[in-house]
Amino acid sequence: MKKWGQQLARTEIFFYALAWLIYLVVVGTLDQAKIGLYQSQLKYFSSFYFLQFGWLPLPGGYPTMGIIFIALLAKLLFKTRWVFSQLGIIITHFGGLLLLFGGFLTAAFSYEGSMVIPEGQETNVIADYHMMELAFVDTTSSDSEDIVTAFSQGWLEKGQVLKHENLPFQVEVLQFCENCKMERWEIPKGEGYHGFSKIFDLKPAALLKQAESNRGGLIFRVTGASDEVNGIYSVIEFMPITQTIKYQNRVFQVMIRNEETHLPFTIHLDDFEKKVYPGTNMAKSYKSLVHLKDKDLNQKTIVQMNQPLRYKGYTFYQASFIEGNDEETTVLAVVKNVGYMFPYISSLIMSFGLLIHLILQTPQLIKK
Amino acid sequence: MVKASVFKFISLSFVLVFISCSYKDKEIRVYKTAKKKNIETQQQAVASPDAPVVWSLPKGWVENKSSQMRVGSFSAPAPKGYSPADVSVVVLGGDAGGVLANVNRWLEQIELPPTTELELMKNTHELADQRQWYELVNPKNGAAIYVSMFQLSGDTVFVKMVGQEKVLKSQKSSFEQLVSSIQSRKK
Repeated sequence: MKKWGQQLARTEIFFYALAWLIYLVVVGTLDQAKIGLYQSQLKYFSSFYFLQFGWLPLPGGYPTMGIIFIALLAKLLFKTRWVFSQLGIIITHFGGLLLLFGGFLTAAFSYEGSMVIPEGQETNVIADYHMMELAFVDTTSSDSEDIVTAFSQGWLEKGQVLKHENLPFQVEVLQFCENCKMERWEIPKGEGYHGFSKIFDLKPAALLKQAESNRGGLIFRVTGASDEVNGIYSVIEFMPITQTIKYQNRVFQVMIRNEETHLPFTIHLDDFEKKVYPGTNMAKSYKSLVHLKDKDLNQKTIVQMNQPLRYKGYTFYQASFIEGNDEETTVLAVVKNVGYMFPYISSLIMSFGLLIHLILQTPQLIKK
Repeated sequence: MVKASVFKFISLSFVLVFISCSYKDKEIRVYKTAKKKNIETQQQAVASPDAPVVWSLPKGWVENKSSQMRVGSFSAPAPKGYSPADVSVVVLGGDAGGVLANVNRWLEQIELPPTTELELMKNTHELADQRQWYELVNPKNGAAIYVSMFQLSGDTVFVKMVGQEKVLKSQKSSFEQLVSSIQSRKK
């Protein structure tokens, strides 16, 4: 193992991996203009490999960052002499490793979504910006509550069969597309097709630069219910009429939507204030006056540009708003990033390490 | 020896955790929520917050990215074999040059000669709120434009649907619904 470690500790490995990372940053930035920020991030950074020119497989961000981390660790353990004179170097390497570890935490566990609250209402729901889910909402279980059974995007692959004890039928995924286009059947489908799928077919479309403009859709087959219920259904995001499945005196609403997270606290929008530049409709500033409610807590606060609300690891930024005829609706961007402190801490450690190194090396430099 | 063990442990943990985290989650979540009505406004969230007007998107229409000129841009579905119709909402200050001048400009786009106000009346459809729309069709090549222009809070709003005549005919009621739904953001 030591021999392997010493090989990995070679400076060339770190150097070439870093050069490759710079290449990824350059091509990722250039391609971003064409395919959009999110797609570029997925293709070049959150990937094991990507296809350059559409056919040449090259290493993506994951292996590159992994090699940099392991090479740096090997260098610290096997090549750096663990003596007092090298203390600055050791601390600096440790800071670098911590920075990469923080990046890993952000890549693996960070969360981004949006919260939409109309004036005078409250919510605890965040909709993920990118990940989708297929939700079956049982609306017949009680008068006050619905029971939601939601399958995450990982399940939405052709051929997957979705089963759950809450569902008196099973669902086979026939087609899923992250961005679908609707095509009206020339002749509406008859027996075996239900609701929306009778009128429209869903076809995959190219992903849009603005990831939030994509409309995910799903075609699925229901089996295990009665003959009237079994058959083909389809759902697409923002359907004006929700698809329902009625079986055994139960009514299920079926929705494809951005994955929802339900927070253990709620935010109530008391008022939304918008100021415009005089003589125009351009927003100068806007802010949300909200109440944060969590068990005994009922705290009044303001969310506005450069003044986010931070609570229980979540940060709420004022992102946008929707102006209706009678009431306004605020749109808050919600971010949860467990690694957000790592860049600050590791930068401090690296600066401290370099300072120590400078202090320890100064007498030798003076001697020379 | 200790260093080798530490290196082995950290490296392997890192690689394993990294690979496991990169796989798509297969999760089934079950939870209860208070009954809620669908928040219709979420559908409008894609509209630019700076757009001076708001509207209700007709069923089946897809909202496209707006541009500097277009405050709203949509694709209206087409029968099989036809391209979707392109729909735009544009807001300009003042009277924007008047009806006839604009109509003649659009007629030129579908290769038709200029018209007169009297002729135009034949192809005018009336909606509520004193809104009108004009049906411009070139029977020779099937190109068509449905367009409405009306005053709203001192501005002129243009709603224009361009495509093949057959496509536009199939979307006529949706177009009328869109035109009727447009409201000013100004209070």
